[in-house]
Amino acid sequence: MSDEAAREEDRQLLERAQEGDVSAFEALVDAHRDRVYGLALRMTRSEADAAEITQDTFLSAYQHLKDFRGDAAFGSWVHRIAANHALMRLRHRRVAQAAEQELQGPEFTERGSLAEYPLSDWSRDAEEKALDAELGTAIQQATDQLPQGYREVFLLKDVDGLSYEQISEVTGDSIPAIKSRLHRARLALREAIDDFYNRDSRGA
Amino acid sequence: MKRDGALGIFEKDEGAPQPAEVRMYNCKDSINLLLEFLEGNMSPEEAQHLKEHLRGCSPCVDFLRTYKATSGLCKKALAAKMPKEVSEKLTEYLRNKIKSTS
Repeated sequence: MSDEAAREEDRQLLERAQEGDVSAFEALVDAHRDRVYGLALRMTRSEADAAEITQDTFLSAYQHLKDFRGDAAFGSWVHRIAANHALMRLRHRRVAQAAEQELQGPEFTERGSLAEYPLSDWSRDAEEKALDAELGTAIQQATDQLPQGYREVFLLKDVDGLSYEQISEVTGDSIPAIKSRLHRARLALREAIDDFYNRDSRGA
Repeated sequence: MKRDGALGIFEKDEGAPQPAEVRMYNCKDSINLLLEFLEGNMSPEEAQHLKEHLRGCSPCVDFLRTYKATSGLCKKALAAKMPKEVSEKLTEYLRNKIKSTS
């Protein structure tokens, strides 16, 4: 089903759900639960937390169903609710946050040129390699190692597709700060993938 | 010469006369500006300086390609599906909650 057709189906289900049709709401849950669960799991790294966040998210959505006017897609709305729940949970964990270290990016010479050349250009077979479980693990580990503020922004923007404005609403950070973190996170992850490819090409 | 239209660079002005005093960007400047460049949020002047650098810098073009590919690759790698038993619990939980609130 195309994105447009899926949105239209959501809209129709939403109307029925707002009129009290519980089966229509359940169909909306079925359509969006994996994305919500995925977001929660990526943000919290806990299956138990992700399951609870998914429950809380859809319960909140149900309780506020009549307030939702359909200005945004149902998927975006429920995504924002999930991101808020996940962030609240992270804050409540009271885990001592390590100081956010400088993220690793490319190395430059004194004149500002890239120090290491030739670079691996793995962009062309990236799609194919995405199915590689080992690469998936490397990406997961690299994402886990990002400082929390950077990881949140990267996941919300690049993986979950929220806009800068939505991320700002969720995190309370300014858009320039969000962009800066996103860029640093992408550089660090690019570096990690690059390491993987270089190691792979060396047969290590 | 049109080297890489897909990246939105090298599309025009190849060989065009340069202003007398153009501050040339180096790799570090270019990489710091990649996000704004890819989102089309740079001033025309900055974008022009960046394109000038990219025209003559293969490492930066390779870097730009892999930077662009990073998001999609991570998105695929980090996709998660809810386990069946968790999904069943979710349905049961919501049904009970909805029943108790209606």
